[in-house]
Amino acid sequence: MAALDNVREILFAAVVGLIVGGGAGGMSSLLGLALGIGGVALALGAGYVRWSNTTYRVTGGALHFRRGVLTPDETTIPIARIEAIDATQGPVQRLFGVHELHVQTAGGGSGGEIVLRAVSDAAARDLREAAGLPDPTAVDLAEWRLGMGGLVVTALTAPQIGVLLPLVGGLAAAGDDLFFGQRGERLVDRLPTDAGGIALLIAAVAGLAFLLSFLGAIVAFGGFVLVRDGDRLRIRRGILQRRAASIPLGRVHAVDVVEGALRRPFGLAALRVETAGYRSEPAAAQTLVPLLRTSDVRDVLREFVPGLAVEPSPLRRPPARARRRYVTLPLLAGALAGAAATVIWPPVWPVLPGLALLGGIDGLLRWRAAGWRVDGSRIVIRQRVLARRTLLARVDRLQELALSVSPFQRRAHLASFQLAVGSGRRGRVRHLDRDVAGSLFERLRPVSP
Amino acid sequence: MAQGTPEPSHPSAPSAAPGPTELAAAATPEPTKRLPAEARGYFVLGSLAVTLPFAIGCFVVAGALSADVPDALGWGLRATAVAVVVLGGIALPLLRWRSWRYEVRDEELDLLRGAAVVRRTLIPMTRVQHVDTTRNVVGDLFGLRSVVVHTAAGSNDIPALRPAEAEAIRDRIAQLARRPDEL
Repeated sequence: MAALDNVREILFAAVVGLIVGGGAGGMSSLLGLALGIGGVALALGAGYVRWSNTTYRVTGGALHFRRGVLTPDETTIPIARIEAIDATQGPVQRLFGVHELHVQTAGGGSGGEIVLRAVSDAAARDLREAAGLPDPTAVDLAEWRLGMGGLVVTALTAPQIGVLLPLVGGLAAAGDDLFFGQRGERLVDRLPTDAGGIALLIAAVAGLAFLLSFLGAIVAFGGFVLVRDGDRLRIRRGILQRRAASIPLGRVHAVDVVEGALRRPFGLAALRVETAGYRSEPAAAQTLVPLLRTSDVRDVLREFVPGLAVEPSPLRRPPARARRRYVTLPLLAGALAGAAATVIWPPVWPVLPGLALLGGIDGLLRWRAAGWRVDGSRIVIRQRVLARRTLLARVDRLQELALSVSPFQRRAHLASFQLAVGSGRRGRVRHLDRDVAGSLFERLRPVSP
Repeated sequence: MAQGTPEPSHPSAPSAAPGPTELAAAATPEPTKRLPAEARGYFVLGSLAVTLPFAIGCFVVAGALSADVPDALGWGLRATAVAVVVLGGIALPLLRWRSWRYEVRDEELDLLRGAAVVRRTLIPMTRVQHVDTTRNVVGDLFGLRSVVVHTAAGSNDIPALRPAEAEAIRDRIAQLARRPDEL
């Protein structure tokens, strides 16, 4: 399989060589071609040296992995500590019929303690056999795939639009400097000033943001596969860059059901796993299922994360007297922002009632979403922050419980409840009756052994 | 206010002085250990470090206002600066100090704090990954340390303890957290 592991680098070098050769005005095209070929040869050589210095062997009950040319690193993992060997195959690896193996240990992150970038089928089988692990191709594993239609719907309803808008703004500013700076004619001066022009511009920017978001989601979630292999979840996704994660089920402390604003009207949601990390390793919250029907959540969980397959029964809600409290604050915040804008530029006064109304509606929606339920050893907490998020968490893995009472809540005998799961995600229900919140708090605290 | 007396459960029940005991909802007693007296100075100095520069800035701006700006604006700015220092720099930290309670139990760390918003936090011992004592410049002035407890979700601290107490708490938590448990 040789140095072809480095195909990506080689192609890159060739392209750079050819561009440099072809583009530089004074250089003859022959010299450019020579440079390109030289680049390819150099990359091939470097790849070969790297490959010949990367070795692994199984001896003395341990897997030894050695890599590096000038300062070789050697990693040794006792066979008994190997929890799984995950295989992935990117387009280039598929071309050469090799696999990328991730050797997983208990302490390792999701990427694998040792990564072998190009291993043949037979070598992979030998390694698994030496580690005493079953051949994954031999058993029928639970699998969830994102189909073509699902991918398009995922991308269409992707929640990144809001995140991308500032990015488009930044690009516009950069383009402004690049293209209009020198001529003393700036893009800002050419912006339309009439209402129609402004609307058109906003629509164009929003359209571009949507397009970028759409393409971003296609690239990120293309070929999404979720597999459950015993007590491990394997997630592979991505078109250009194939991402693979392997998560021990024991580390899944919670699952988040995210119903985005564009998805909820169609009864669709995404599932995220909240896993715990050690301090040295970043905790990961990642997509478990990018798109599914909300009504299928329990069935999918039963198959992949059985410990968190909670029955879909209604949640307990904050009391009626809490509604006013959900609405008041965002309404005032909206009014205040509107008032500030009006003071700065009086003609925009309609934003004052507009923002107040939006704030009030947002508060009302938050009120309607809020809820909780304890289901045996699991807790369900629902809240709304743009998207409606329902956290299903294992009670015996909660990292932190908190109860808070503000002076306003004190008068109305209310309290807010919050909990934290291992990934750092916090679930919160505001304005519960104080006795209800207190008994929930007591119920979830650790029992003395 | 050491013992958590159960609250009457009438929604409209007017509550007494807003003490920390408000949060006692059921069986478990609230934490009782308080921060040492020196911690008052630590809290106040820490808050002044933020509010004083702000106040000085306000005075500078007020002094530099041009003549055609109404005088009231300058005085308003100065009054705001004084209020921020007195309330935010002195009163609030003292209230915070007064409300702080903690308790290390076998199965959990119990923290209660907050001058206006009273907040009670529980950290199960089995979830503690590690525990530190830390010191900083302001704390050193008063000979105080803090204990920081780390879990997979983040960290919580008990600020401003006497060194012996801080070390005892750190060692006790480390001992209790040693119980083997999966992540």
